[in-house]
Amino acid sequence: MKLVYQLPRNSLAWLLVAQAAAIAPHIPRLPVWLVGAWLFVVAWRVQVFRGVWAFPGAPVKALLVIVCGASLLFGYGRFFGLEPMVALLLAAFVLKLLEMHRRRDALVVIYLGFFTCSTQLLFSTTMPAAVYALLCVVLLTAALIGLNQSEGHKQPLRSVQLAAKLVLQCLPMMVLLFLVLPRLGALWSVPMQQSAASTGVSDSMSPGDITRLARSGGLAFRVAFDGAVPPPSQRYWRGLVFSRFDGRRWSQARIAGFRDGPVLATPDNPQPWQRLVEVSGSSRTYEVIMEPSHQPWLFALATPRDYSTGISLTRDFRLVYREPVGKRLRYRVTSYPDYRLEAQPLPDWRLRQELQLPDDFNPRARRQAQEWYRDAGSTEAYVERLLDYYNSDFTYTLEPPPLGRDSVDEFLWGTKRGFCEHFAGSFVFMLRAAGVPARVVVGYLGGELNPLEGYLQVRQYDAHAWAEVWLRGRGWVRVDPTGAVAPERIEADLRSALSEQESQLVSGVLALDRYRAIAWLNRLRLQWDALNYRWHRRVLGYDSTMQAGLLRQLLGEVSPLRVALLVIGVGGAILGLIALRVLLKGRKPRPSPATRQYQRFVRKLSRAGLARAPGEPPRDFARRVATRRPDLEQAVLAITDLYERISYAGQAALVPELRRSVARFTATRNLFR
Amino acid sequence: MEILVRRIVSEIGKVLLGKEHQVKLALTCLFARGHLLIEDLPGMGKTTLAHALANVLGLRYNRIQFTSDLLPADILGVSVFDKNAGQFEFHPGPIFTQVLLADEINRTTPKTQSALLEAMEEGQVTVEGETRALPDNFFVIATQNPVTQSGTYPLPESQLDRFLMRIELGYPDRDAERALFKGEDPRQRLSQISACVTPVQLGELQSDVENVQVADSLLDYLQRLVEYTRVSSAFSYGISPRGALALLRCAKTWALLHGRRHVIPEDLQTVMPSVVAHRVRDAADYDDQSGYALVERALNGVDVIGS
Amino acid sequence: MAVKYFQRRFWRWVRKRLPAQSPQTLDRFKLFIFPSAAGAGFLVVTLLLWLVGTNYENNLVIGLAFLLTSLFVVSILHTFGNLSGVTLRALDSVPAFVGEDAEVTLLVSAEGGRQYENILLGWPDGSTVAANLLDSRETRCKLFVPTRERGWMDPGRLLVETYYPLGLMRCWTWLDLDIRVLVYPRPIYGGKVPPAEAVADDGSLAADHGSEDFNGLKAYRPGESLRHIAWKHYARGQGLHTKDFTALVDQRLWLDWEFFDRFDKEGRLSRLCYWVLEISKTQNEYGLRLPGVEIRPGKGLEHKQQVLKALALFAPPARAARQVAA
Repeated sequence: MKLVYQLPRNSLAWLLVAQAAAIAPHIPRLPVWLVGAWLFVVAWRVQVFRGVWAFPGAPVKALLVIVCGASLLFGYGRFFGLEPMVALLLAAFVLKLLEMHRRRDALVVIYLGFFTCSTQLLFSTTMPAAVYALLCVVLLTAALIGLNQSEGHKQPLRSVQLAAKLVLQCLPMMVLLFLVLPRLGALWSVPMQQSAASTGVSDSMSPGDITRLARSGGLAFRVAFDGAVPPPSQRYWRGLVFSRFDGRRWSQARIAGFRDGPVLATPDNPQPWQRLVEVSGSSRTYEVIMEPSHQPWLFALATPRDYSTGISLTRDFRLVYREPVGKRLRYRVTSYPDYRLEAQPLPDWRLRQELQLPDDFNPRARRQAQEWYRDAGSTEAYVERLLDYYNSDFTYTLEPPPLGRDSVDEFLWGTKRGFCEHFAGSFVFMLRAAGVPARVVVGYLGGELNPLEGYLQVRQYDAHAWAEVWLRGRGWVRVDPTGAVAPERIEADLRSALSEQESQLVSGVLALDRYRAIAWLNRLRLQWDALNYRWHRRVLGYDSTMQAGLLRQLLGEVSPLRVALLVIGVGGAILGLIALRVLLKGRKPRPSPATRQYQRFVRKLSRAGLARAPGEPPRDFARRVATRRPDLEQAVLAITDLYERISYAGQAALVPELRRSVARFTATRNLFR
Repeated sequence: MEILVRRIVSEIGKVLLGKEHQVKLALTCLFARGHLLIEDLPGMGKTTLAHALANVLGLRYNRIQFTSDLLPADILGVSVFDKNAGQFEFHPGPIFTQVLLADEINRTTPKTQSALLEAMEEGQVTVEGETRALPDNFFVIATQNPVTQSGTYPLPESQLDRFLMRIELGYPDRDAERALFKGEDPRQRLSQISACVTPVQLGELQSDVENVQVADSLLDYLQRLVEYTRVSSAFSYGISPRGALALLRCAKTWALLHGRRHVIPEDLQTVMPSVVAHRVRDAADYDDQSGYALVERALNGVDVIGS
Repeated sequence: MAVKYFQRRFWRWVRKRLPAQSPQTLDRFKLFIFPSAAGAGFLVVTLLLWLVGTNYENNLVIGLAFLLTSLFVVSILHTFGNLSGVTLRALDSVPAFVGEDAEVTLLVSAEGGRQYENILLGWPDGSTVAANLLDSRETRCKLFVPTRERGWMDPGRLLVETYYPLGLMRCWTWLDLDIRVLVYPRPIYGGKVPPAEAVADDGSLAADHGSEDFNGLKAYRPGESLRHIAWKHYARGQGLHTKDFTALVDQRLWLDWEFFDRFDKEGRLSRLCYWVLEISKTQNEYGLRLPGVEIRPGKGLEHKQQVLKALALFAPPARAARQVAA
């Protein structure tokens, strides 16, 4: 049997711990068999260390690699993609344990661990995830330290303490590099996470969809306004416009239905239909940090004018991103609350789009709509009539009864209990049935103001549906039939609009925002969210623009030379401090104050030709000096006595006196005295 | 304290002329509850010193002349069958005393040597299975001829270590010797020496040693010295922890003898040759440095103040 | 050629910069530091992480890459600190025979409160020993260095290096601690020592209380070993007697240069060395005669060392050298 290099126990232990820590966050994403394989391999490696089992032979290893690779390929159906690539990396990370013969193999495992640790951050960028990654780095560093300690090191905690110390010392330097080193955009396209389910409002609406969203407390996006935050009733975040109804579901108008050119406009590629909107008055500029929705649409107040790059304006004047939002997205928008949209008479093809209704649905509603419209005389009066009807005896509820085929009929004259999508959907149906162009708009309404940072957080339960009515001479006008039933929903938030019992249904039981009534808990929740907001804005959202701003602020003018000087200056200072800490510890301890004074005294005598031998005790030295220089006898004996009393009799209080005496002492002959 | 010491020294000075330093060292050894080894030629006053010390401290005194045919029983005592009483009776040996002068200890066989040294170490004697305690203030002054003399059994290192101090008396200086020639036989004056200390006072003195203050800076110096002997290539082996403790104890006693309640480097330096020289060994360079030279080397080589 | 030239230049520079001395305290003038292979690998990992972070526009991964970069930089200080301030002192060396490994004891010590770990000490062709100063201020290390020829050997420059704590950096130095190791000739069996020559003039029988040969009985004295009591005599009622043994003080041997005139100089020394080792296992006294060197017969460890040292350091006077050559 050949002699194998035995990895030090300390190193192996920390390596396994670090590996477990690095793999743990990936476990929900991994196939179960890979987790099983990992545990098996760990057990095998431990048995190898204990000398019970041998390392696997080459055929076994080859088999393991092939089986793992094939299983991954079979399971994911592809290799190119974030999840399969990470799974492959983890498989390598795990299997390498069985091939860890030499120090170098252990190094490879640790380096793979750093990779694993980084991939975890590709899936989650929350603050806890970052802290956890830091912990993983500490553990991996401990494993690295263990690898460089002598064998038989018996104090495993020492490794991790030192690792923590090292990582702590690295943080200032990391921050500096993070802030100052130039950022490049993506160098080539990379696979993104694909398996995640889309969240938030979807591209169609049937009764019950938004009700379901209302039960989720998940964050949709955060908004920071440059100026004052508009009141809740003004916070209509338009996301989607639904113009098609098939009797049950509302969905977007067909692209092919638009006859005046492409439906997307970008600053580079403006479209003629953009002229259909006229804005006036003041604007609102705000920054949205959107959580990944895996949908392309973005949310903005009506009506958006200027927006960040990568965003397009659609024909129905809302914003979409160039791709589904797979990770947190930050964008800036300027909106004009005073606008006239398509105020000119609509062409026939537009009327057809906005008046479309399926033929044989909701016969009663169609009849009633025409009747009421005739009675009302004008569109405005008809809208009022409808809203009055809602106001009469409808209930705003999170638990609407199910509706049958003629959903609008059943809702308006049957159940009379509904959520916003019921009101918006039936309202638009009634308008269209009466020949008034109308459409459903879906998005979010409101948002909770965080008083600490002054931003809004909009959660999934803020999802809302409302209507836009086309009025002659005024264009599209927002009308929210929910307001007629539950004005609190618009003026405040969802909870205040619901009965106490129902408001319990909003979001999960454990979500912190359910406990708003408890003041300290609420404050804690807001603080936590503010912290997250800052994290997203300042850390995750730190990009070349913010960097340029920061550097301008620091340096005045941004030039490579100045940046280099900044890095060298600040980095040097940081390293200098660490070096002081690290290297000063290795220096001899400083002598006591009394000894320093005595040494000063000895130097003075030495300059006068009276050198002390190293082995000469103070008193002997003093006597020798006294015989050579009787003129100094008194002073020398006094100082020696002081030093002796401080140093050997513990009379530390005499130090100042010794200092004075030594300062006064002079050994050179004064010729003038 | 100092007065007392001066009185003792001057009392002994009546019989042992010009040996003040050695007398003080011997006193130090006694107060530190250690045993003393005097290495010198015959006729230098070893016996006189031992006898005078016993007298001045009011202690009982015995002397054993070690010869090659001396047996352990000759020192420790024997049990003799008493016909009248019909039982064995223990006749204590000369060791049952307070001050014991073991003269020319290296003349006897290792067996007898070790019997004495064990008694010194344990403060008790085991004869025929029965343990008998030695009196309080049991103090051995052993003398040894220089090892170069023939017919000797040199004490091994482990036995030497049991002596707290080893001193040399040396020849008296001119004046002292002159006085010796002129005066009567000093041994006759031994009887004139009166006890200056009561046993209670002696006990107090001995326990007072514990109260002498030792500052950290002095311990630093002691450690530097010890380290030097262990590291320097001149030493075959350095001072053992027991040796270092003995050194500290003697330094404390020396300080007390000089009326100080704290130890200063001079104390350490003064007692070090006597305490340490027989505990170190020079390296195998065979350049025949004695322990004293080695100690001198350490004292000169180690900075008292530290850096 | 050019490589050799630069190597020579380099070592000359090292000699000038790090002169022979003991003890030596390592400081920034004596230490070299450079990334190790593992460090280079670490940098590659860092670069890859940075690429991942940049491509995914993930600030946290970029931050992680920067953290590893700083770890690399900070480890320079720590690795350097793991040697800086350490004092090395050559304590002593144990002589060896040619071909054996000589043992050298070093004292590694440090003042101050720092902990030092895994300092590797070794000669290029000898063993490597790891020294730790964790809770102690000094430690002794035994090193072994192979020997090639007899005489005083300079083991060369001691390589002192460390990779601690992370293995990313290698900090090292070559120290000349002024160590001399005495190397005895390689003992080679060859030819018997001529017996006629071996018997010296003044061999005699000396009675002593030894334990080799039975010499007679004498009366028992209390305290004597019971093992030597002649129980048979006692059983016969002849009283207690002790068997007296006498050791023979043997003839004195002279080991002479001329015994092995069939061999060259080293061959002779090797054979003499062999016989020194053999004879010193017995109680015989032996002396050594080399051209220009004579050591009186004696025995014991010191004597043996003296003789071996003479063999190790022997350099024939001019005349003897000619004879050997002839």
